[in-house]
Amino acid sequence: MHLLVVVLNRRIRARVLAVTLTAGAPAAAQIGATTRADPTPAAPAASSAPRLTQFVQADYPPAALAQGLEGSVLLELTIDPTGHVTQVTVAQPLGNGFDEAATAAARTFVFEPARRDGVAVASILRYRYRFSAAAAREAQRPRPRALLRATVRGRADQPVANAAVTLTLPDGSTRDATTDAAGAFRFELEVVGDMRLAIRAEGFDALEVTEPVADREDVGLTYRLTPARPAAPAATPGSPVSEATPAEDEDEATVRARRPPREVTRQSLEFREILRMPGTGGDALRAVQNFPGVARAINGLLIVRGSTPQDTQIFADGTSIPLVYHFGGLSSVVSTELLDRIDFYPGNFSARYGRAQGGIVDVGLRSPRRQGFRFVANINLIDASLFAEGAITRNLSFAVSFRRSYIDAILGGVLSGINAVSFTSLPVYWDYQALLEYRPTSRDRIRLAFLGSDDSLSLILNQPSEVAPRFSGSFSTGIGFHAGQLLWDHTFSTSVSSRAMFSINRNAINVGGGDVFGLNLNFWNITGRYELTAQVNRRVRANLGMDLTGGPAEIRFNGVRMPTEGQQPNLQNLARVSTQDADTLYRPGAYAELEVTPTPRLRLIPSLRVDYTRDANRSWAVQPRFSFRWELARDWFIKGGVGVFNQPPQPSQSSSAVNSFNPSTTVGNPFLGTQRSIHYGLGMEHNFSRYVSLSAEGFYKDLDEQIIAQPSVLGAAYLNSGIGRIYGGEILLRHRPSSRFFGWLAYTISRSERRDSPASTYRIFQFDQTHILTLIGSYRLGRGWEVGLRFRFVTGNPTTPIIGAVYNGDTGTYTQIPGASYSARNAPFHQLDVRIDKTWTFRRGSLNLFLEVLNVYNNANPEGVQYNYNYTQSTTVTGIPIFPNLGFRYEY
Amino acid sequence: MNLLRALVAAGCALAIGGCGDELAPAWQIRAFRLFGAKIENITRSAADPGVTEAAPGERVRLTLSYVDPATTPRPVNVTWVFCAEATVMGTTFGCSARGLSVLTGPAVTYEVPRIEFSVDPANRPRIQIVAMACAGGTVALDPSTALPRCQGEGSESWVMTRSLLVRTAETLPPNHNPFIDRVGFILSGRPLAEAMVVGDETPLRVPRCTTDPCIEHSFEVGVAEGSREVQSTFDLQGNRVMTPERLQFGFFTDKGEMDNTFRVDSAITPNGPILNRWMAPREPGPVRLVFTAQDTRGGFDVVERTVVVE
Repeated sequence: MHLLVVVLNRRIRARVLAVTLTAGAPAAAQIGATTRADPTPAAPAASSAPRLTQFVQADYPPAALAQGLEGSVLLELTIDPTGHVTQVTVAQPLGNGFDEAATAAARTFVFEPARRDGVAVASILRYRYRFSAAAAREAQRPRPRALLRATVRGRADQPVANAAVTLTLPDGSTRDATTDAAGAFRFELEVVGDMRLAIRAEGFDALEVTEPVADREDVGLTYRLTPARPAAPAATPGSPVSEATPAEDEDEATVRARRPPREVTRQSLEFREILRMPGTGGDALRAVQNFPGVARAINGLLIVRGSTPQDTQIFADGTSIPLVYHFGGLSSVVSTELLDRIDFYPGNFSARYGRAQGGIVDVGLRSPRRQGFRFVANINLIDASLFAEGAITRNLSFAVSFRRSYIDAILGGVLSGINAVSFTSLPVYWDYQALLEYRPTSRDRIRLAFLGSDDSLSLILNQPSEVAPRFSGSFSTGIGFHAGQLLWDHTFSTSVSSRAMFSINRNAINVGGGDVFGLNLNFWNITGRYELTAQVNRRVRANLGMDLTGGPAEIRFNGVRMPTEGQQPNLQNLARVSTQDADTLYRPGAYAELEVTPTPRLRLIPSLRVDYTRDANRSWAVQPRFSFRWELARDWFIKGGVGVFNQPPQPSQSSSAVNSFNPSTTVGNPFLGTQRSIHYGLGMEHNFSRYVSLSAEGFYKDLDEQIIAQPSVLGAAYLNSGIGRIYGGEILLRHRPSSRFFGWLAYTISRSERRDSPASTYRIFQFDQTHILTLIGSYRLGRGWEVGLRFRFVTGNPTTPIIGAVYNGDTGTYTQIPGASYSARNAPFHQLDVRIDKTWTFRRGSLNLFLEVLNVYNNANPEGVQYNYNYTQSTTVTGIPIFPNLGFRYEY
Repeated sequence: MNLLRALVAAGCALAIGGCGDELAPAWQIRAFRLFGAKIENITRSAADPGVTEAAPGERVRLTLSYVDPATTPRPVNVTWVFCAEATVMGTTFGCSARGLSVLTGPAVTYEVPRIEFSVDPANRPRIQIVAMACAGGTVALDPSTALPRCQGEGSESWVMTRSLLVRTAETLPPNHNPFIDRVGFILSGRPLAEAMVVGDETPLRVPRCTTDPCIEHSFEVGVAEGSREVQSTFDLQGNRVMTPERLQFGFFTDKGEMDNTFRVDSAITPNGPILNRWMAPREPGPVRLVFTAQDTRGGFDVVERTVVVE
């Protein structure tokens, strides 16, 4: 607090008040400058002095700073009734450039004006601007770019004090520290990259590790030292173990404090990988498609280990997202800037996840920054997005993001000359996310999140199709959702914590196709989830949870029976369906999972999940699961698992609504049961170094009770008549991001087959791809340049050949005669994508410009076969030709 | 702008799955073609001509419409198979074994059997009809597939499926065939009112193409009043509604270029003129034209015309 003096300005005769009050300095006092004023007698209580609300740092005269000169300048400021400084007079000069610097800064001060009887009046203020050389030097000192802090623990998880820590920076220079009584140490880093740490403490073996530290990263670690033994080898970086798991076997040296997955296989992407991965445009969820086990799909579908896209669930912190990509893969519906992590589980996933028999993608939204403010703008040829985050108070922070496409603006000009199509509403998508996070105590984190997305398109086909002339006229699609989510993480004690989540989604899907097809689906998805985690003892950790999903749904539908996997939609021949219906879904589930570590090298995770589905014939699904992870030798692991995974039918498949076309039938089959899949997996992992790892896994999935649309127009619409088998192997050789490079080589070989009824034979799965090879690499050249490439080679998708056609006299068109289902294949797909980034770093931000070129050598990849009107001619439909995308990302 | 178009085309390809080469359009008559089969209830024809449905015991006449552009005229043998429609999709041509009947000839008369019918998805019983038309050959049964096959060197064939709605206990009025009563030719730039009638006896003479690109003229097809009947159907929200039929028109030719094969009545102007642009060929000579009209309940009409390009 500083005293300010306001004296009467005799030149201002009216509405001028002489007051003297105490006033605060700027909330965040600037380094190198303080304010001070001379005291005068107190003013009448009904009036107030001007109060400084916006302080501006003066530039310290360089010559004066070099000589170590300092002192203060007394200024006389004239402040108008709006609080702005209209005149600055030097009342007591200091010279050496200080007077000019102080005057220039003071001119831009903003005050809350002086008041007399509540009315703002002009005033004159004497203000002393002090220059401190020491503070100025401190202000000019480079700010740390990252923070590396850690705690060192020893026997019985006790902190190790007075341990000597030596940090070797990437340039070879070293810095030293000593752990405090709590075993803690920290380094503020002006450079980033690979940091080599050496920790020595009496009575323990020395520990040497290398930690990659990225720009603006706050790395928090726990190291556990091995008690010294005469023959004990020096500890080396080992496998990750739980931060909460004490080092229980003193024969083991556990080094890195990060929890291992509860699943057999979890692939996670780091932020730099997401941003710089070629071929994804910096879009996080599209990056997932490059993992082993994920088939290539041109429309953004996630086909995981031979399962249908509907079999893989996408979560955002536990809330199921109905839509993953805008317009079939242009970009994902959640901003990459908001992502903390993307965890991808191709199979044998935790009991925490239910109602999915394929895989899981769990998108974690990160906490907004709790200090300062950050702003990011992303602009490319397709869309633009803005992101901002910052602290509101010490415990309250926020993040907001908004994106909108402008392909409507581009298409509007290009399509205006095309007669076949008239767009009544050009394709537009947008999405938003908003987070508000509150940490009332160190044990609690409460977050309120809002997410939403909308895709819309409306057009008129001016020319009836030759294949289905009636399928003409206006077409429209509108898919959107709005979700609100409340998340509460609470730590009861060092061994017990919980997470509670409640979300409400409002989803709307509207599709219209001429006078043939119409769908209006509006439904609420209410999700509740609670998980309690407890460290039962040194060897057992328990995760108990329950979740509930459901809500009211309203559907209006007129079209044909929705086909299931492998069936071709045919508007002319399938069963006509028309209905209006309202229903309420109710699907609760509960699970229990134990993480047992009988020895530090072995982890056993038995679990049980039970799901109830009211709309699937009130069925119960009991799903036992088991996985393990065993460190055979240092950095060599064996992992495996087996489990049961049930998935309820889609609401339209189990609907009991009457089909208006045939009142004796229903739209779905209310007696359908849940689909089931048994996952088997066995694999190994080896860490060659901190960065390079190799994993290989074989898998087998046994499917039964699969839902198949039935050909009968009078009997049940759907039956659990299908079975399937999927088997294969995956290899991932990965180099995690270092200061220069990241990349991976992923290879998957698999075969996925289905049998739709007991009377039929096995056929190839619709998206079966025998070989999937993905090579990704990105290298920092220096000076802000980074170059990356992605090469993919994938077996062509299966196709069903058309062996003939008959003329349909009722419609005037031809009906194809298909050959054996998926008995042919497209030619293999191969494509090279290249990405070049250039980043400029400024004092308060950075600008990244990227050029991404898809299909560099312009390979004509076959994506399907197109036939003429009577199926006597055909041509290959090729995929995207060479396609450049240019964009930039600015971060402040 | 070309670059922009290329980018957008690439983007569209990314979104919708790519692009293919040009394929032969449906309006082009290059080989033996079927256009449909007209069904007329001859039991009721005196009192109510043009009915496309029939009750058990009633007789219907079916006339196959086809064009064979072969330079040397050749016989067209047609075999018809009638059966009660199966309710399970995926069976051969949707046929069940009940009520099976076989007839031959381009035009046949069929009596609906007095059997019990199951119903189709729209709650209507149907007779399923399969016709094989064989130009320049004979129809025989293929022993390996048990399906009819056209035999004979150089022969061409098509199989056509058709259905006949069987009236059992319905109270709705029966459907009738639309009737094409007018084909007009409109020279480029002339108003609709100046359309020249394309008669079926004296061929209309039209100018050949002498410019590059060719000038587009238009053909207009009109149907008699009452061709667009009111029908019971469902709207997109699943409500049963009574709406006028929207007719589908087909335009086919062996020379020149049609703008598009089909036109469908607009939902906004259901009785508006049905126009299709046509570019005359550069070579003079006769041009064969086929125009069709059909509804969604079995109603069908076809006319064939010739114009002379000079």
